[in-house]
Amino acid sequence: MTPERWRQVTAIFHAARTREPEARRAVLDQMCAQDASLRGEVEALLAAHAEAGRSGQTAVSIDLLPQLSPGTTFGGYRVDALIGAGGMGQVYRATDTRLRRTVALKVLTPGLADDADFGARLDREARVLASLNHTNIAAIHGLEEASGIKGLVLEFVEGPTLADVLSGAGHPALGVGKALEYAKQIALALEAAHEKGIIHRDLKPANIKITPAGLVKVLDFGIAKVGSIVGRTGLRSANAADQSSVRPTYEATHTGMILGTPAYMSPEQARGLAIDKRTDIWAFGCVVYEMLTGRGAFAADTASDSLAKIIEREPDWSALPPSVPAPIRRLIARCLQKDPTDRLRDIADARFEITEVLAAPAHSGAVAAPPSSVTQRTRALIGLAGAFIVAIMIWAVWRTLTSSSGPAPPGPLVELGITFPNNFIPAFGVSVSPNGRHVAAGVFLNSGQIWLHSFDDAQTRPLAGTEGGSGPFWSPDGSTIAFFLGTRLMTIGVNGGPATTVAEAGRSLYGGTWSRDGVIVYPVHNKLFRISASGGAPVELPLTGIAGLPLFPSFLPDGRHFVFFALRHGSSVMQLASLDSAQVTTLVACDTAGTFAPPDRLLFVRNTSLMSQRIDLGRLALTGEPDIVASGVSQGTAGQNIGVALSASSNGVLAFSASRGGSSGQLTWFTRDGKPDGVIDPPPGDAEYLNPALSPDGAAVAANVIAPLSGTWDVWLVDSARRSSRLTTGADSEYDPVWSPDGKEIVYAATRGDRLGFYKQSVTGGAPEFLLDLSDERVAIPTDWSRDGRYIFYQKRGLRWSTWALPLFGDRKPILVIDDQFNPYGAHLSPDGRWLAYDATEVDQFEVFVRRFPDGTPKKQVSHGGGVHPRWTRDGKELVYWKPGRGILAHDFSVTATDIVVGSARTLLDRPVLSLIDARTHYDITRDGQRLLVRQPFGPPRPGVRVLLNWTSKVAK
Amino acid sequence: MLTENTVDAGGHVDPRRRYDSLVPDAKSGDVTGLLRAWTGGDLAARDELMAVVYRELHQRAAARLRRERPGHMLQPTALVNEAYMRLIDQKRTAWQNRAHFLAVASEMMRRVLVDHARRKKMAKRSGQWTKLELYDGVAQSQPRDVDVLDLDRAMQRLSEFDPRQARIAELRFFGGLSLEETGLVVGASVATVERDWQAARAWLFSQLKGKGSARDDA
Repeated sequence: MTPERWRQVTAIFHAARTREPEARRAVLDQMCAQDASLRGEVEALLAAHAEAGRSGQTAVSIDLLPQLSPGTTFGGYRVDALIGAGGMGQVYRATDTRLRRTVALKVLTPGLADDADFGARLDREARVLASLNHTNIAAIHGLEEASGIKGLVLEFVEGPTLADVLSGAGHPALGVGKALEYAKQIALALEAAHEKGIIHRDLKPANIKITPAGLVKVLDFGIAKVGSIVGRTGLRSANAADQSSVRPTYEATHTGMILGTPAYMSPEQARGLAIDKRTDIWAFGCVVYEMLTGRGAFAADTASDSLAKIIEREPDWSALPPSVPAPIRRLIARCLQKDPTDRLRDIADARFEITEVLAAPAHSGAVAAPPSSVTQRTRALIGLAGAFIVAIMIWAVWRTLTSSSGPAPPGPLVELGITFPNNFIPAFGVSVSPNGRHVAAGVFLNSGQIWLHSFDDAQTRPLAGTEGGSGPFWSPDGSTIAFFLGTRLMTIGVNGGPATTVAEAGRSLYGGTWSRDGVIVYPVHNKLFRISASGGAPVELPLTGIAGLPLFPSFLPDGRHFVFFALRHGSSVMQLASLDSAQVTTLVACDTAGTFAPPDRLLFVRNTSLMSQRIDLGRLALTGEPDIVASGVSQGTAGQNIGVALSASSNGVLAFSASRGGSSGQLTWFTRDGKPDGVIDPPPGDAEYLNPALSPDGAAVAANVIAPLSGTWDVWLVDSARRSSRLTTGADSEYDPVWSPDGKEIVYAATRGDRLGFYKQSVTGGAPEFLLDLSDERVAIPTDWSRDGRYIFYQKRGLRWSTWALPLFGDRKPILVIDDQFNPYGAHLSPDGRWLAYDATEVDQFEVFVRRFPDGTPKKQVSHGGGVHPRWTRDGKELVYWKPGRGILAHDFSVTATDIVVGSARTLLDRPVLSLIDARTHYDITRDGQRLLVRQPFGPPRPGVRVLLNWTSKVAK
Repeated sequence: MLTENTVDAGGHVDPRRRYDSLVPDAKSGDVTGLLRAWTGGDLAARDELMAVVYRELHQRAAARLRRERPGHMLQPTALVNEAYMRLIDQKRTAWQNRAHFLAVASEMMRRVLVDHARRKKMAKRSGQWTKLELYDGVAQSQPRDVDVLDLDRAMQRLSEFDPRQARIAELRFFGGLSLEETGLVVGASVATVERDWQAARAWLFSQLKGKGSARDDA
């Protein structure tokens, strides 16, 4: 190509590219005249241009290295080729060198092997799955670990997936005979698994393979569950056509459908509820429907439409070919009942039905025959007509809804749930992407991290590289999530990739807002700052009249004004301010966080209800009356105020953190060797015990209970006979109980109105005795009572935490014990009264330390790799603590004339401890070190985030 | 579970400590000086800058490729931005200088990737990672696999008959420069840059069409 020729080509290209096809042809005819090769070049360019899309930003990204290179060995396997990559890792074709057979090797991501807890659970799961031995199930041969990499060894299945078959050109639907033959084999596979109590959870055409001999093999049984365990460590469930190809995936090849539409998810799965084998039956119904019709039963252009269909609508029954026998129609309908209790109970029933139909003469061949009897045909036609009428009615309703509204198409209101590990509720920011396809949440499990839920595939996963982050919010184009990590404002792509520092922004936890002009506004303590999204220095906004701690700002459409939640105990408000003036306007009183919801609504929470009210964007004031969008979204407002983080997209997706409500953790006894040894029944009502503290004799428990209605905290006692009673009766909150050394009294912190202090109360009841006024403090928490009864230890925070001792003799003036810059926390005094154990951030993470009391030196670090909540056992010869993410460890402890001697760690409890963000302690141990009381996950998973699709259908027009 | 206390500084929350322990990245003042010297007309400073940036990108890319999970994407443009954040003191740097830095970095990024791809090819190892995906950062269109070396060759051919377009493609693909920044670097209006970009991209895509993917021969 010469420069001249290129100029000629591009000139025509530019003239043609913006035209409609007709006009484009005319341009080409005219400008290329008789030069066919010129025209060919321009047309090639135009074709490439059309394919490239009209996007502005295009960049490259790179697939990362495969973990295993072909030709190398992994355990007893020789790696032959990488055949796929999924969320959970990579899949290789490999040869078992001992048995000389081909296997599929699913290699899990590195980092996993570091997590002992995960490893153990994966081993257990793999063993269960390996017990599935069935012709129609791709077997799991075992679990292999080599050089720190874990791999599942799976049966290698030749042939296309059902998804590949259904997406083939020409005739996507299978004939009735073939479809039923496959359906029977799928049912047999499910039957075998269900008999062993194993649920597939992710049955879909891409997980079903058809061998060249026509044998059906269902892949990835139960792996979805393994994947969900993995969720915590950063992996997604394995799914997709891992064994066939990386892409194109089945969904992507269907025009108008987005990648990974959750089209096979059951309604209960979509809602984030507990699932059982009936979820597989639903998916089975979807697959059979799709084999017969060639299209997905609940396929839609967007994930949220697909979810809405799953929850609200019937599939298009008229799409089933007339040749489908009535019993099969009924069978599919029974599989696709929205309510699991109405659904087909047993997959074996489906298998019987299909076998019977296949045995009937009309269906003995592989080719579908039309209905043979007049009766059958008539029935089919009636069924068809009925389904058709229903379809028309649904279509009409849909049309009415969509045509009467603005930009948000209000389909039916649908509520979904997003569940996090340990039933966690993210309160540090919940943010819906502008396109409504994702929710980012700031989740503090053992440390902070940004988690991303995608409606496309209903996966919730932590974003690697965001460890320690919180307060996520989106770029206006939805491609990027911004968040805060320490004092840094950072961004990460929605598709992952490295997290990038934008700027030093100051310490912020509670979100921000990003305008179309690239301006970010965010809070730091009691001020709001602005910064450019491309970096630079933050500038404080010179606002006057901010009514409380400003949280979760959100821009109005003009990109100049923004609203924020101003938090002040008992009198929080939503306020409005702008980049251009100092003026702050109060919009409305509310109880917990609010936000702006495009196009013109303010969302806020009042009296436990989520309300919405229109903002007049011209006058910048609220107009009309507020509507209630959802009730019971927060747990009262008294005492320890439980907050809500919420966010809405312009297309009607609203997400907010769920109020806790109900028990998600249960106090469970364990013996010293880690065996479960009974539970403590939860308190009455929908509640649970927090901050457990064992009495000195280990027989009774004092713990906190949050009253379900008022949200106030109380101290409860559970005695040795497991009788529970409420100790504190005040209208305000009492929390963090600590036992007296004789086990007769409890000291606790209490807020009464504006007053904060410590009280002492007899375990037999009676009036509390006021011990210490701490009203000037922001937070103060008692942690221990010395065994000689002379001191109560507590911590309080000013700028940082400090540890104090309250002498119960003399002038009773508190003594400052530790005030370094490392946030000493949870101090416990050794039985001999000479050593103080606590945890602090002296190194990168919180670790357990001991230092001499009262002089503070010498000092020694006890834990390495993380440790909190130290406890003394065995007369001070042992120090126990919780290692987040690992379990509970113990060290021998002794002191010589010259040194503090800490023995090596032994594991007392090898399972995760359920932490809760606003609880201080999550376990306790008897003084002899023989029994542990630990909060453990309990009950079905509960959504941590509630999502309303088409929420605007709830508000007045 | 937001309380006034937790809000203030993470009071009730264990992660409070994480925030106290983080130290911001150290920044180098030298590179900022080099950048200023170069944009002030010192061409030797440019060579030195290129060497520093190449080293930085090379190390970062290598570290990423070792560490990150497979299945994830390495985004060179993000790497380039990170290098900028790390190497340049933004308080002393005008935004125009940022564009110039990114321009150097895009060129270096391309070189890092091509060098790496060549080494991999020579070592006859899998070389999987040398497949680039051209993706569209805004719309969710299907990414396409291309070979780094194929892309590099195509860009070289383009530069033979339209150097400016080739440069624009390099800035956009490997540096993620905006149209404005690209315009600043090549000395053209945004409208011109956009037209050139459309043509360059279409031509490159038409050249890369039909090229096999490493996955086929894997």
